[in-house]
Amino acid sequence: MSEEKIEFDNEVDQMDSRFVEICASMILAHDLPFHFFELEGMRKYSEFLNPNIAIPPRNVIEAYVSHLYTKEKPKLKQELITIPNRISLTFDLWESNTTETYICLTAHFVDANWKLNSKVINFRLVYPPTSGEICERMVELLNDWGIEKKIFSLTIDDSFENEILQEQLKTQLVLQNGLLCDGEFFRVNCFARVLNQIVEEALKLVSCGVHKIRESIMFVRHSKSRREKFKECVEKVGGVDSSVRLHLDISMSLSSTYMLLERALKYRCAFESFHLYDDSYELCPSAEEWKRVEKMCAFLLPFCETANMINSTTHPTSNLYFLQVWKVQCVLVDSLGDEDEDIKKTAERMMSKFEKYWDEYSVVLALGAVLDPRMKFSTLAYCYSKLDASTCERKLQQVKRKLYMLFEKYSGNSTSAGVQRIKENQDQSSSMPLQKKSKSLSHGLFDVSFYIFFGLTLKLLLS
Amino acid sequence: MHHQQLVTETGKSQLDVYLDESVLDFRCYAEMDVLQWWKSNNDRFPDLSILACDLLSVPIATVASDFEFCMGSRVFNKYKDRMLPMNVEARICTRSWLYNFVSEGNSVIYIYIYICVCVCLCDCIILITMGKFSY
Repeated sequence: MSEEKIEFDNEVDQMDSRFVEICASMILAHDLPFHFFELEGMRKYSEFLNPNIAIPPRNVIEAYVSHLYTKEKPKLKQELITIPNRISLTFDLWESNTTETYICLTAHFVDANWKLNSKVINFRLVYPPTSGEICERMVELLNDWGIEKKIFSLTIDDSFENEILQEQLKTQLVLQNGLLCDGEFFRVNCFARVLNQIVEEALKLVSCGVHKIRESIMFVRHSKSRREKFKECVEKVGGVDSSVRLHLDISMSLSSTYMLLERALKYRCAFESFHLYDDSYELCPSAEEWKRVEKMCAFLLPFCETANMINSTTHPTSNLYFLQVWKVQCVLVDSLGDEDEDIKKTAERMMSKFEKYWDEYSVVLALGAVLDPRMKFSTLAYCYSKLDASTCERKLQQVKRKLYMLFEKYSGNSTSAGVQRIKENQDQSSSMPLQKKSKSLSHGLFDVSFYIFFGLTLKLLLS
Repeated sequence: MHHQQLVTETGKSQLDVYLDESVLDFRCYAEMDVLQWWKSNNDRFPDLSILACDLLSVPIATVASDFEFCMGSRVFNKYKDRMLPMNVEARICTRSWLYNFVSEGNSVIYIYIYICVCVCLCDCIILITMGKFSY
């Protein structure tokens, strides 16, 4: 590190340091390669603007980034140590194209301004990538940050090796007396993976219909004459909102596929009429396929929302997840009673995947929901009873017991820790909740109130 | 201070008091930021608000840290130039700290990429290519 510092200082003397800074921040902000400014096109562009330009070579930019890193790291470390609350981690493994394995450790925590933060704290080479070695390295890294006693949970991909790792790390941290309730809340598994497995099953069921819809859109868009004929069909059929345009999906995106289906459904009659009109158009989905696609479309909606939530730039707080996961569960339960045998069978498979995940991790999410002043136990009771009234009371008691058990560890903490957050400016609303914040973490797509106060109409969705 | 005394006098813990209070109406507070609620009520529930922070920051998926690299696979072959391990960390961490993963207007769902990629500790080679995702 120190070598790089010297190198940086020397080189920077010869360059305009302000210019290096601008170049480096551009590379970081837009995730460009380090040699971006040395690329032929970029060089020509810069020289056109200023023929005398001295373009910073990549090693100068690299050195500047390292310098920034060493400058910023102590700040973050200080922040992590000072906050009175604990930190949740996510863990990933990455592989470079030279097949070296990297640990990526991300810290999620509420900062002094009560905002949720997610920061990558380490991206380290690990060799050999065995669970023992990785665990050891992780403990080292946590010690280096000084947060080994401040970890709340670790979210990880669901795989056998990862489970071993999670267990090992838990044992290590418990030995250091660093976890609450002997690590009972330490393990969280990645929900995105479960979600994806379920969605894959669902899409398999309608693969034929989806394929035909995709081909149909391409067919009617193929030439000007076909586009015009299709337009005539749309007008003839009537009642189609043509301001909503047909959409072709990107094959890797769930929301895009959802949009493909949702919009194509609006044009269903037009496609059918076009089918009668043009003999060369053979790929129009059958009535049965349309019906199934329609069902699947309703089925996919909560998955789409959850995926959007997980992928959004503002990371949502965990209270929002509970209802989202519950919505997914409701759709699954409903599909179990579908009259279509194929859908029913698929739903059973999906349900078993879902339950394996949910049985283990529902408590952490439920606790998050209870700590949302809009939900508490009454919403939980509503959700549980909607799913299965017979187990509702038992589940509620279990969540309550865990909450009290966990709270016991926190009582009296705030005074002994001696750390205070930035206080509200003696706002008289100390007991009043904040009204609508302009930029809050909640999402518009999250129509929880609709679900709760206007009744659950999932039946409608699926019928 | 005043509130805290109130709590001890009635023999109720902060948690009891919180749970006994009536639930806020979802319709009026649909867009509420829960953490800001705990901030405003920190005086009344000093311990419970710390617990709330811890529970509310638990992430449900490891994806959030991913979208930075979502270029078709988990292999970050995006940077064609060879980076030394130290530089990789400096680059990725600094980007996360200073730029907070501002995506370039491209928040498409990458869940497919994500899920289909298998992570094994011993052998985390990416086997899946784009072709496999078509259904």
